[in-house]
Amino acid sequence: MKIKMRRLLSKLSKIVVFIFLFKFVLRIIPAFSDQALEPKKAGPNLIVVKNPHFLPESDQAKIVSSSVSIVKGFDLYAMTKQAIDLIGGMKKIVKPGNKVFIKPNYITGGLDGHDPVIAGEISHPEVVASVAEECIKAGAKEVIIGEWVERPPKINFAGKRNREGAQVKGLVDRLNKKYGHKVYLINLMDHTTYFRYVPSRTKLKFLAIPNIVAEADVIISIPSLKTHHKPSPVSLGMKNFMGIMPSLFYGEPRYKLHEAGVHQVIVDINRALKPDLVVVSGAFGMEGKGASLFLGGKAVDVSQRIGAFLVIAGTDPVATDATATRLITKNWEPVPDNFNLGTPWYVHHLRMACEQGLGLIDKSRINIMGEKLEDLQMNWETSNDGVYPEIP
Amino acid sequence: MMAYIQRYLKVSISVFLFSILINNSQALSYGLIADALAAKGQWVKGVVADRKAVIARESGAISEIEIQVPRQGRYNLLVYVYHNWKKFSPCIYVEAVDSEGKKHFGSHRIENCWYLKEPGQGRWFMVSLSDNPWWVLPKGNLTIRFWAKGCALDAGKGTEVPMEGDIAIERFFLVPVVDELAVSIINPESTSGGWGFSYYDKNYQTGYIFTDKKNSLNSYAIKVPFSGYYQVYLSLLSLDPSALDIGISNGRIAKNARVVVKPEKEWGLVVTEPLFLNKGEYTLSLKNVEAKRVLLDYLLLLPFIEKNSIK
Repeated sequence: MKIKMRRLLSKLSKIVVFIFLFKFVLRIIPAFSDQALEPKKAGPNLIVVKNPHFLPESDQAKIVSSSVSIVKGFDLYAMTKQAIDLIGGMKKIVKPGNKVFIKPNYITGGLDGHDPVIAGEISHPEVVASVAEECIKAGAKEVIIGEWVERPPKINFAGKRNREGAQVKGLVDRLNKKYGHKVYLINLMDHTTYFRYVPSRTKLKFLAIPNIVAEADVIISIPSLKTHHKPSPVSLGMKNFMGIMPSLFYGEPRYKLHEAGVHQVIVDINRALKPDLVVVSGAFGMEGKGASLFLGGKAVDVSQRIGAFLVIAGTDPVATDATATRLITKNWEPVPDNFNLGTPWYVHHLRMACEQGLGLIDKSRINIMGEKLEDLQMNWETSNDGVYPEIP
Repeated sequence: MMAYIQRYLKVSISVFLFSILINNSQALSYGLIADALAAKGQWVKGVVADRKAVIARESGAISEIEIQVPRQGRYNLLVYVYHNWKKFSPCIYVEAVDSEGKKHFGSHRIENCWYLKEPGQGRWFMVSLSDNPWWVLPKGNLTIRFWAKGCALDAGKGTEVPMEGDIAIERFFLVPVVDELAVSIINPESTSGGWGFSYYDKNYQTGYIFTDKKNSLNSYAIKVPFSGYYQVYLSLLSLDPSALDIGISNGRIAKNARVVVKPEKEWGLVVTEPLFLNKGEYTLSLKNVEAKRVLLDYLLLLPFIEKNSIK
């Protein structure tokens, strides 16, 4: 009995030592050994799912209804907090120790010397700062506010009136003074050290995402309320992520993504990132050609149209963008026969995102919290280039 | 039982030490780069903003350059390219033929420098040329034919327009893509430390960092995406002989390499010896060894491919 026991223990020890040794040797072999550099089968199975944002599509397609909040007023800082609270509060989204990435729309703000906030080109700094503060209060370890900017950063981020960081820098400094240094305002081009490829349904097959975004636990989009020229009638939370895409690979303004089919690209980016929250900055916006004054957009002071500013928030990016689209396309024609689909159905990337299970467009399945949508709908100018309707 | 364990532990340690020996014996330098000056064809050799390059002065002018692919795998082709166009976008095209005769295509449309107001003022850019996301290349010779054209500014397929100015290429980089991860480019201007910085310089038509102080130190937070050997590539300019100490550390591991900077009137490229790094976060530091003025433009941390894998 004693001998049998000794033999058994001996065999067990051999197995344990062998497993330990095998694992150890595997760890120290360089990743670009012959085997690692062998071309592998192209396809989604190539991607290692390490990040909670890179969820299989099937996990994203189970949305029954979505909530979107609309808040009206003049105190943007407080309105932003209220909009987030109405959909459950930031603690539901950000957990203690999380790394948060916030993508505002900074585009070319201030390049021509004008104020990019009043022009509606960029997300309002108070909305961005308020979201950042809510993240910190919910326990975020760090909050990175970033955009991929190809041009010399001093020109782009400061404008010509020395408005460093598209005017949000002062507010970021204030937050850092109050909570310790937790908020960073960065150009992704300067701080990306590698890229993670995510699947794309376009001919590109894969899209390169900067590691800072790919590694974030929570991803938040803060667009400015805008119409847009071809190829998209609106530019909101989903399209905003085009601004993280590396010009190193895709050119500026991301020509290769446009050539590959920008609508599907927008859906692919959002499928990969699975943004946790979209907060639309609706104080100042752009109508007509949109995007920027340089590109022919017209500034809109929302308070001049409906008597106050707006903040729209939601955790479903499709439903939030669809709601924001409804807010500015009151009389746009044509609209689908199905009243519940409305103008968002004729915005390619929204319809495709809905069809591919990323979120909802159907008005009857979107719970609007706060203000009534019908009371606030406006008729903003479309870009006069036939971009709307994008009929399937 | 203890005797058995001791015996197997001895064997394990021997195998472990042997595997370390094998790993480190691979450290032979091999660069996946090609200076554009080595190209043959219609692009003319010259100097643009103190950088040796080949220049296209005519639309569709074709040149050809060769790079050795050390090992079958996935690669991305990057180039350091210059233009000074204000109205239109320059487009660069490539057609590469691998050692098995298969063709690979790529292009890149670069944004016009509408934000640089002075006439003739341009910029150097790092751009990817391979069709996304990568080329799968066999080991051996890769012949790259490249040409340029002018493109209109529409976001769709650019309509061809006449060449507005020069396009120049300094260097080609064949960057390995391992699993789902690619290229690490570190922007030197995102620095913290004793070096000065210029976001954009009219003479060199690029941004860079600089120092003329001995032991002046700059550091960068970097993330190594996977374990393996890496080399640091530095685009430098110094009129005097100098040297830089490159350090990569994370508190537990510290790897160091010294690069010698030869005095040149034009920008040059220096590469460190291969350094083995485990996946993780590190601080990369640059220290100026001499009290000589050194300028640093781009900085890359690329996976190292062994020379002895070429047969």
